[in-house]
Amino acid sequence: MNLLEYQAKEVLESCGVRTPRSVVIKTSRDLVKIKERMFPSGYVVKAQVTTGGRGKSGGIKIVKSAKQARSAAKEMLGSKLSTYQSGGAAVRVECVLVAEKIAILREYYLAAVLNRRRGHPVLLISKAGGMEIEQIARERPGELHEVPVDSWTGAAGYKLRRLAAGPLEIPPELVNDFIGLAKKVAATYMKRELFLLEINPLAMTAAGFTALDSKISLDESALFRQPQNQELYKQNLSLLGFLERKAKNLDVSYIPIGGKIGCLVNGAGLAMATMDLLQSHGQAPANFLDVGGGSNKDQMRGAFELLFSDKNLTAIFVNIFGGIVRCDLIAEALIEADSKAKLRVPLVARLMGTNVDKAREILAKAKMSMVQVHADLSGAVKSVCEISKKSNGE
Amino acid sequence: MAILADKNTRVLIQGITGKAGAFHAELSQKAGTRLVAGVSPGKGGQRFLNVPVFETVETAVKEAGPIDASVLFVPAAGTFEAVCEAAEAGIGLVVVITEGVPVRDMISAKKFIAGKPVTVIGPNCPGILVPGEARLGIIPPNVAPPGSIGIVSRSGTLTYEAAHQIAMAGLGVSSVVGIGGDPVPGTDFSRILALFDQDTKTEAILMIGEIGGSMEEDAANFWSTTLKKRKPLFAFIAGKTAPKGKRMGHAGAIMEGSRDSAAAKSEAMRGLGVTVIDDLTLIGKTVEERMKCKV
Repeated sequence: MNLLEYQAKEVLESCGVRTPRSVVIKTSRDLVKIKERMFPSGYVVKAQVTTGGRGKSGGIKIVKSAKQARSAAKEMLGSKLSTYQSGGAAVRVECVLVAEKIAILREYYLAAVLNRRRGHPVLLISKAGGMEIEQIARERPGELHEVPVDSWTGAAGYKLRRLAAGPLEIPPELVNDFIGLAKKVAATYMKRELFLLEINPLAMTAAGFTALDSKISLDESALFRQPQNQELYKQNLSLLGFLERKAKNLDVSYIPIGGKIGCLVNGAGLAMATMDLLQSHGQAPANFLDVGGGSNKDQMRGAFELLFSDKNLTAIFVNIFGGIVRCDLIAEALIEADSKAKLRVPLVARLMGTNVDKAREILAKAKMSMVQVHADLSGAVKSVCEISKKSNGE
Repeated sequence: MAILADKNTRVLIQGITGKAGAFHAELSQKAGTRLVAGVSPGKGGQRFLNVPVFETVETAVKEAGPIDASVLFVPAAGTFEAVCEAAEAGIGLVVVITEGVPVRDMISAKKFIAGKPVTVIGPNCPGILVPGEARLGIIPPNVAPPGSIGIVSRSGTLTYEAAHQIAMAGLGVSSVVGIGGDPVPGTDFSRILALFDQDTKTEAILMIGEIGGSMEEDAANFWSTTLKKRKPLFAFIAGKTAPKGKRMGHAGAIMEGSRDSAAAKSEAMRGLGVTVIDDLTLIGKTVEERMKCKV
């Protein structure tokens, strides 16, 4: 799960990383927190959304006075923001951060992240701050530096010093400040069990380094022993859409994509491959939904009900390769869900594997007019795509 | 011959009396696996499925050994220690089925086993299946008959689908190895490709990859340079429609940049001579056609 900027900022502050002074605005009542002459150098008003690229979509405004800041924040609160990174989806702005404008000498990039190839975390550091990491890697790969983070000793100071004094061109009087900050970032990444801790830009000012914007992603598998992360996770559940929240409660993995064919699959790999298959037939999947390998009937039923309640679907495609999951259980879950939530669109089910014959029997007996059952994957896909095309008027 | 395990492999199951452990221990035994012992703290001294249950791996090795492989069905929070315990007891192969293991624990586990003579498969994986001989994990035992295709994968059910298609095409599999979908797997694709390369029973290799990371391209590179493309390599990559920055189900499947997209991976692998299969329904057929040409 990704944190909002203000949450990430709080995490950084709690471990001693300098950040600009700021106030958090969650409702219009909070607007009074923006005081006259609070930030003489200017006010940076930032929409709090987890999708990147907000600066280019009006999600960041820089103004001179408190009055202007209040009106900018008021306008942003509750508005919908879609950025080039949100994939066309508009995200509601539930919260706004108003921060002090900082006099920047130079912008850096600093992140703690897992290097998958090496199987351990690293600090990524670049002089090309403000650019996206991908762009730095593509356009200026020579300016992207890596320092290993050891789980026991952290990031080595001498390696950071070598970089700071060399390619990063940090003035001698600020080198120690930089090393201190980088070490804190590495330690926080390990201690709080994060997937990503990114500071971009990291501003060099006359007084030292300040994290202007930051991004944090949590390792959800470690929540059980990270009470602070757990708290943040709970807070952010409310930011999810209705269906996503429902899926979290069921403990199934659901991600809306935007198409019209709802998908229900067991296993993440097969779920992705099934979505790809629909897309290759010119029909867009509505969602990723992995009901998992060992899911029980209640979970399955819940997952079906979740899809039945999505009003944007024209059809539902079920792809189950029963191994541990039994096909007959799926069939029963489908029937129970239908009696509770009522299936309104055609459903094509491809069932294969454990107890598939029993499942077919159960579904044949139930005589559900909206349901087709296939054993063959390509036949099932063709069938659901035709239904979808018809209802799209193609 | 097969890779990693065969009918003579003496297997221990850690967490044998738990719900998943018990269920799969029995299925595995029926599938030919030579189960010799179990470990379940608090249940030492009991017998289960006709094998002794011990308190610790050390006593299991001492009293029921030698043990060649251990399969872990332990809770995520206890996985790190269970891996260390098995490695320290001298077990050469540790298969971790458990999902939801914190990344930091896997980083620590890899550090712990570095230099020790142990191979860790997983976590968050379906394990290993050698049809008719051994099943170390949760792969449906009858998903494909014995044969000459080696399968290695980051997924679970997608692997079964692929194996099923291989079977439908009239072929069989030598070994199926699920290395797991987590960001820090104990063993990567390249290592398994090297084992298949050495395996006399395996004639061709099918690699099932996903978005996220660069393991697939790295393995294709390794196959092309170190293994000299001795055996044909087929690949399928899931996640072409996955949006950037969203974790698709498990922690490993996330596209962080354009370089770890399915399209970029496929292109890189094709460039190295790998037969990349784009259509999920054509995995079996593509392998079959290519293998026929060879004869």
